[in-house]
Amino acid sequence: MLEWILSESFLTNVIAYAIPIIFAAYASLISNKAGISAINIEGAISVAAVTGALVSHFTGSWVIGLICAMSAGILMMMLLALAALQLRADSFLSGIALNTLATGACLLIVKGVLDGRTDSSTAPSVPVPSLKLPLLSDIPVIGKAIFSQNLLFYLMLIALALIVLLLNHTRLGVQIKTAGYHPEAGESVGMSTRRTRAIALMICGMMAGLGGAYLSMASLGYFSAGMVSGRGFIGIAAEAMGAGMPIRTTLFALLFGAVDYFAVGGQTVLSFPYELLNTLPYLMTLLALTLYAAAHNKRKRG
Amino acid sequence: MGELLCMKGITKRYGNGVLANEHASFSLREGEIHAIAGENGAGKSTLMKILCGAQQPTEGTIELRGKPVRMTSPKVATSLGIGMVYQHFMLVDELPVYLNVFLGVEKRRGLVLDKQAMIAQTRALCEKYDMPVDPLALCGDLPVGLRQKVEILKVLVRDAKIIILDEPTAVLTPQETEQLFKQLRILRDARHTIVIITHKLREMKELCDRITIMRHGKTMGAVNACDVSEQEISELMVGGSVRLKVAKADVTPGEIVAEMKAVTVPGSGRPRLDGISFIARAGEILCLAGVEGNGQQQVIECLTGQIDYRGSVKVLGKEVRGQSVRKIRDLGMAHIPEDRMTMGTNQRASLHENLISVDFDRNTVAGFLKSRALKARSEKQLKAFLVKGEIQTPISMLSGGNMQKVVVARELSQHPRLVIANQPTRGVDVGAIAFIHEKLIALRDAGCGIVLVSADMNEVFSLADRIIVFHEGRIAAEINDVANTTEQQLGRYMLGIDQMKREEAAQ
Amino acid sequence: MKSSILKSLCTLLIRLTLALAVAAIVLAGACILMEGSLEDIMTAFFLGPLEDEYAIAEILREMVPLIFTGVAVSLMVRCGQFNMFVEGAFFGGAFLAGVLAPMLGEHFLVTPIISILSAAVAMGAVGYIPAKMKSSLGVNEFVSSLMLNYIVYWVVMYLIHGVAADPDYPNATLYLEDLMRLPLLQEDIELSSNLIIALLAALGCGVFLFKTKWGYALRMTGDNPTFAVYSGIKAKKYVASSQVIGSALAGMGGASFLLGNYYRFQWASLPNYGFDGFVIASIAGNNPYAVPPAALFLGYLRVGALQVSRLGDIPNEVIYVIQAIIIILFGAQFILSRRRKEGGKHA
Repeated sequence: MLEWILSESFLTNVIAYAIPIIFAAYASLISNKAGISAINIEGAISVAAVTGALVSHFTGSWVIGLICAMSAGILMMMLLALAALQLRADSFLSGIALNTLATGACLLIVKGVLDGRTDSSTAPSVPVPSLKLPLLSDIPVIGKAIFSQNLLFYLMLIALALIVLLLNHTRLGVQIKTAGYHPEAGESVGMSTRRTRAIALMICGMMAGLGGAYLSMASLGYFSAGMVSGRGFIGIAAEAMGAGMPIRTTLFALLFGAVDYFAVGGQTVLSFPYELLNTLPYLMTLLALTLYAAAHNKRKRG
Repeated sequence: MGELLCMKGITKRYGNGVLANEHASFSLREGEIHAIAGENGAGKSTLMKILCGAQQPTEGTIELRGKPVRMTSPKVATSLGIGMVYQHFMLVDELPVYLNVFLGVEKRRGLVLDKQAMIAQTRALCEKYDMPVDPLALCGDLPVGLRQKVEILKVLVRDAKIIILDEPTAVLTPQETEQLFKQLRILRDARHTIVIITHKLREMKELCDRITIMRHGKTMGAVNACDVSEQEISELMVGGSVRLKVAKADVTPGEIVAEMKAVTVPGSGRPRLDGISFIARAGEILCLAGVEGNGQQQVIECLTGQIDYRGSVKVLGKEVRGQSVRKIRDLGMAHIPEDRMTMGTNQRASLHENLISVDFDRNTVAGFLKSRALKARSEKQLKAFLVKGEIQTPISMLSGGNMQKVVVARELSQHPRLVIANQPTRGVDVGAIAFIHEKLIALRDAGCGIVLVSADMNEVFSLADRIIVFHEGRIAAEINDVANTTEQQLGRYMLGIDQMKREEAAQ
Repeated sequence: MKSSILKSLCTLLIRLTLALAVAAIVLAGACILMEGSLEDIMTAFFLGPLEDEYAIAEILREMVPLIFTGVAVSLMVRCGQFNMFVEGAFFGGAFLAGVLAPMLGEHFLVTPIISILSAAVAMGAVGYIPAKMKSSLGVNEFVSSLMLNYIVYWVVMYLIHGVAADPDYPNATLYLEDLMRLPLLQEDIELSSNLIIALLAALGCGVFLFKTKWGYALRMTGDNPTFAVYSGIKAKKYVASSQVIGSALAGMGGASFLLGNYYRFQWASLPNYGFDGFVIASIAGNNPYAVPPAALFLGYLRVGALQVSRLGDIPNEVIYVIQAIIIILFGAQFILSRRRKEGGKHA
């Protein structure tokens, strides 16, 4: 087992498994900063995944697939904006509703578009390519793990940089923080909290879309129903533990990715029932949430 | 001085039918300090919110320099040179001062914020108007007085010519108030026009040039401050009925009902309470005075079992530590909390459900509530405390005064031996204030101990038998002879300028 | 008192009409997209569920899980808790009943009732995990309960692929003989007595919530925890116990559903009834008394959607879309009515 963990491919795979969780965590980070919780990230990821797969399959272009996946993520978040910001429904309940909607929509889309041509709940995709950076990718261990990853990995790094820049150095960042911390203060100087939150949800949807695209267009060559299996929620948990800080959030998401891969990769390496291995990411999240809360409470008291 | 601004026939009706303003009018001259005076709920704040675009009038017109204008949003008002300093500060605690000052009008270079320019300009303004604020400090770390200055900076940076301040002195000590007045005079001399919303008579006389008086949503007319006496303003405000000084019998203190010995509550930085010791006796009203945030709140939280502490806190003979709120209440403690909206009431429940919350489980059979008996009791309580409402009425339908009476009814019907009253009359109409004061004094005369926290000097001086002044988590003074203490002296203790020696306090 | 019942009935009626309108609009939209016959689809949807006693029995069967999860969610939401473990508890409860009943043997009523109660206790115990995490540490119950769902799912999968499986019938528990199951009310249309248990559960929860001191304390905690603590109510206790009771109810629901309508436990995926609980609770306004009518209504919609899917043009999944819109609309309506009240505060 130790040999497996220390192998070169282990780190590569950990990062690969962490990418969708990281995107989900970024999505959660942006929406939470703006003071609206988007628990339908899970659903948005799955709708984006199916959209990306199908569009790329039918157009033969992963670029168009990627763009459409992002648009689908944004669309799902705009539905949340419509419900929670426009109709003023409870954002939590709306989120649950939109997750349900997403479950139905994915099955409908796959059924409707493929119409019995393949296995009813999976859809093929054209994969997003990997990018091998010259020279850098020859560095042992990290060369393969970091410098010859899927294109979406680099997009994730760019997203991280952009988020940091956005939050700390732009007007929109100030607006987002104001909408999150003290919306009345923003309203009193003419900022529209609703508009800011809607924009934040758009960015959130874009992140969820990238996460979805990664699942169906990079991680696997197809979409299958239930493939998101709680990664969106795990991302939300990672963000909660990252306490709204982008780098910390990334690290926690990476940790969850590691456990996720451990569970999947371990099935071939370890002689342990795969069903129980599958509980690992969730157990780990529970444990981490508990420890984090305990430490947080202690700090607050001390 | 010509007429700068004029509001005519302003009527504001809220969605629920409440009439906040009715044909109110208001006129402002350039370069004056103008007070809008009135009791709580007279419609002052609404009128000013309409002026600065935060709310839209149902009817009425606004003219600025003779031209009709429509304040459709705060942004429009800002662009016309009107700025408002809210009573509840509109600051983002997590952002630094300079970003709060430029909130909504951030300077940019390209797509990126021009932080240096904003910091420099904030610093320049601070120097120009003599305000000791660090542009880089986080707003959440600043004391109240400075936070208010940030609010003023915020208005100035937008080139406001008309500055409206909503109850600016409500949270300030007399000395900080002096400071603010000096500041406002500087601003007036720099050709700004200032409106302050207030119900404090002395401020109007001392600071303002003219006064517009409001009552029940209507304007009772504008007067020159020098032409009227405080008595006359007061009569215009309350409509002839002059406030009576509360009649009180002499104090006959009995047994100790609450006691703190060397109590310390840690905080971030300096402790929130630092070795506090005092006693409260039956049959007296002990007032805990002080600027907000100097430890009174923590004393209340210790006495009611809400926070942990070091030292010893005894309520009605029992150590508080380790006891549940229910146990402390069962000893005979009643608690009128500061915030009736979130703590004192359940806004989503009926009057009845709000009235039974402290002893519902003593009126049950096998776990089932004795519904009929409890409802009859609630009905009786509503009558006894003159609450306008039925037992099934949602409490959110009530006015602030009636709501507070529900809280008071619940708490005082428990036959308490100790009443903890935290700002019991804040934001309550005059009638309800008098009623609540009477009830508290009646309880005191009946031998109940009362610990009162109040920021209202009037209330402190009319109710207190004894005053303990808090400053930075310590006791700055213990005043036994309330009748011969001036507001000024109390203010000096509150600010920590003066401190009573321990032995002096012990007498 | 009577007027308040009348008023809540009126609100319910308005909500149901609204929901029907939503369903009709979505179907009409789907119909245009899929180029089906509008008349056929509408007839199948609205009249199909009432066409014969089998269809009606199908509605009544649908009601059982919906009532259980709806009541469970209502109770938790009333206490301010958005716990998703209803989903996992329903699944786990069903599995436990499927394992326990054959072990207990064939005893009329005794076997199913003991199995159901055990499932309730067990799922209540598991539900204590997120409950305790929330009440003691402040961990968001939403995320933790979701994680717990997946854990329960995979543990059940492990057991059902191994020790708990019928050696002659892979990936399923042992066959449930008639005496291990809940008795049928109507043989020919297979209407199980679990509907009665569900109705009793709803009634019991209503009484608990509105008539007992615990129910009162739970509601006050949910409405305003600060107020509850200030009044001397042990809010943490109710935050935790509402989640435990909710989980137990869901476990009970899963067990009753299995022992009423199935012959083995062989579910391969989470059944989504937990999320349906939120739909029901939102239609019922989190009022246990209103849960059975809400479940009847949603059951009717679902059987309608099933009838429509039989026509071939519109897949059954369209019901998800309808449900999502219903929740959002009801959520919106709910908030709106409260906002109107709050307007008075400014005065």
